[in-house]
Amino acid sequence: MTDEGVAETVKWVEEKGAKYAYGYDKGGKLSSYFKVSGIPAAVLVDAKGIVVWQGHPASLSEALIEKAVAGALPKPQWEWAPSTKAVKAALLKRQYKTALDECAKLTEADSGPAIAQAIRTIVESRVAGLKATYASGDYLGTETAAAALAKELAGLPEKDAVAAVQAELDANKDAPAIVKAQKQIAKLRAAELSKRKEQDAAMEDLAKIAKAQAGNFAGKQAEEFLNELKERRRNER
Amino acid sequence: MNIRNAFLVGLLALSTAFGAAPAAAQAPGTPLPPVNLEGLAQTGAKTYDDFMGRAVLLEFFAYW
Repeated sequence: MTDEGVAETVKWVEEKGAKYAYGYDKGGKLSSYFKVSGIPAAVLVDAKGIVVWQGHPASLSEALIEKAVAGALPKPQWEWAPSTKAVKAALLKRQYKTALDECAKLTEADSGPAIAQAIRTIVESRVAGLKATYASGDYLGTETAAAALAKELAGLPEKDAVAAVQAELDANKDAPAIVKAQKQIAKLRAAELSKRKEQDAAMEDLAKIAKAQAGNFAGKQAEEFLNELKERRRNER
Repeated sequence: MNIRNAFLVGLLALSTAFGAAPAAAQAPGTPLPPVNLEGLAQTGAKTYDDFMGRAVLLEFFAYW
């Protein structure tokens, strides 16, 4: 959502009596990732950062929540001991090797081992996420995530797994054409397309991409966006 | 139940196109991709990453 609604949002949250944390999903990135098409909608993420459930909040079971909180850190980051300052600074920069090194200096009373375990879990989960992205055929997403992860995991053995995915992507003969098409789609998505003429041109391009890339991730993305634009057209009428 | 470890994060997704054709949801078991939430309020967290190591219930809501 846009920033202009902040004042109204605060008022709305107060009226609703919501006591929990809230934030803005600017551009609707998260809601589109989860393909949220109506509310209420909820997603449960466990202590390891794994999405374990998605659905109507009323259908969330206590057993699921109990499973999700298993192994969770006893305190959230903003309540950690002052001695964790260096760990927090490294986490903020997503420098996981430094964060782990700093954790090793902490005592058990300051949750050093527990925090280190949580960091290792994040690292594992990020690598698993990269592998899943590659397996889904989202090669542009893989390229972007692999570049970021290579920096974040510098100095850690998990970096090798990132390099392996990158090597697989490099060796994939189909990938360059798909990445190129995905970049084209991303560019069209970033464009405002406020004029009818621009929309027409974009729809034409998307139809071409959908045809040329039929059956792969780029083709699917092109088709999805094309359908969105068609829907927008219908609503304008 | 140790509910203290669970956090609720409400998401105001005003820009979501309601009534769009429902598509398949993300398969459970996949790691949450990096999240950027702006203007986090009613929490000590400054970024979504601050919830690290904690279970989080993300609830999407919007208002008109």
